[in-house]
Amino acid sequence: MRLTPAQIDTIKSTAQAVLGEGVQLTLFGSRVHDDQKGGDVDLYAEVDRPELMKKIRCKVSLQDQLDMPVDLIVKPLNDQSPIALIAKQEGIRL
Amino acid sequence: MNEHVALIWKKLDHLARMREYLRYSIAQVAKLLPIDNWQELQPDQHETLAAFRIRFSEYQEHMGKTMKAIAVEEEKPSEPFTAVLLYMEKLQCITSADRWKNIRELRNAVNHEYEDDPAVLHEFFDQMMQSAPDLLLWHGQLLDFCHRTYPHKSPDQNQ
Repeated sequence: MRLTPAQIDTIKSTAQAVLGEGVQLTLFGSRVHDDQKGGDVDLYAEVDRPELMKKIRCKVSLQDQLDMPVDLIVKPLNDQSPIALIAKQEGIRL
Repeated sequence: MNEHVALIWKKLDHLARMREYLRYSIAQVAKLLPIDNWQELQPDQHETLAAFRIRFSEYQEHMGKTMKAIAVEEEKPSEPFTAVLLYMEKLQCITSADRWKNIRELRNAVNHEYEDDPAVLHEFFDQMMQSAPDLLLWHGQLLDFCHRTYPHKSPDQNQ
């Protein structure tokens, strides 16, 4: 995966602080692949109860800290939507 | 008044017109909320919500461009845009750069994410309605700064 340990720590600590301790994070999209270049940081987050403004605060904070575009999807635990299935099948749990 | 300051006043005049359209939309949306059944909304009510969403977004976008023009005029960094926001925070034109960014992200989410869950749709509009007074306040503070810094008889002075 194309994220440094420091970037992973930033993502996890920010998501836990904003979305809650129980958040489950998965990196998916192009940053999973070592042979690709550039691209957004696509994150899939599972929480008990998604809240719009928490998601927005988390995304803004991550973009500021990582200085990279972040695409953050926040869904309830065990969501079965197509994007949830893709993220969990193709992604890497952080 | 130099050419660039004249351009800033032109932007402010446009922003003042946008503010009136937004205020009208806020009043119309306030009559609609809370929406219990999105399926029963009539076309004119959907139009009211759409107008509010667009006016809210364009108002913040145009205010951002005006703030950037002010930063340039004051020979302050204008890139990245965070530098402009921090300068505006320092001038007390906006309350917080983070709050500005959160509202900008809210409007991006509203404009780009297809959402048909009524609860989420309601939260989008509820949050925009809660955020609109911040934008109106910041506009007023921006105008105060410009009246102090670039003396000019604008239409706003006659209100």
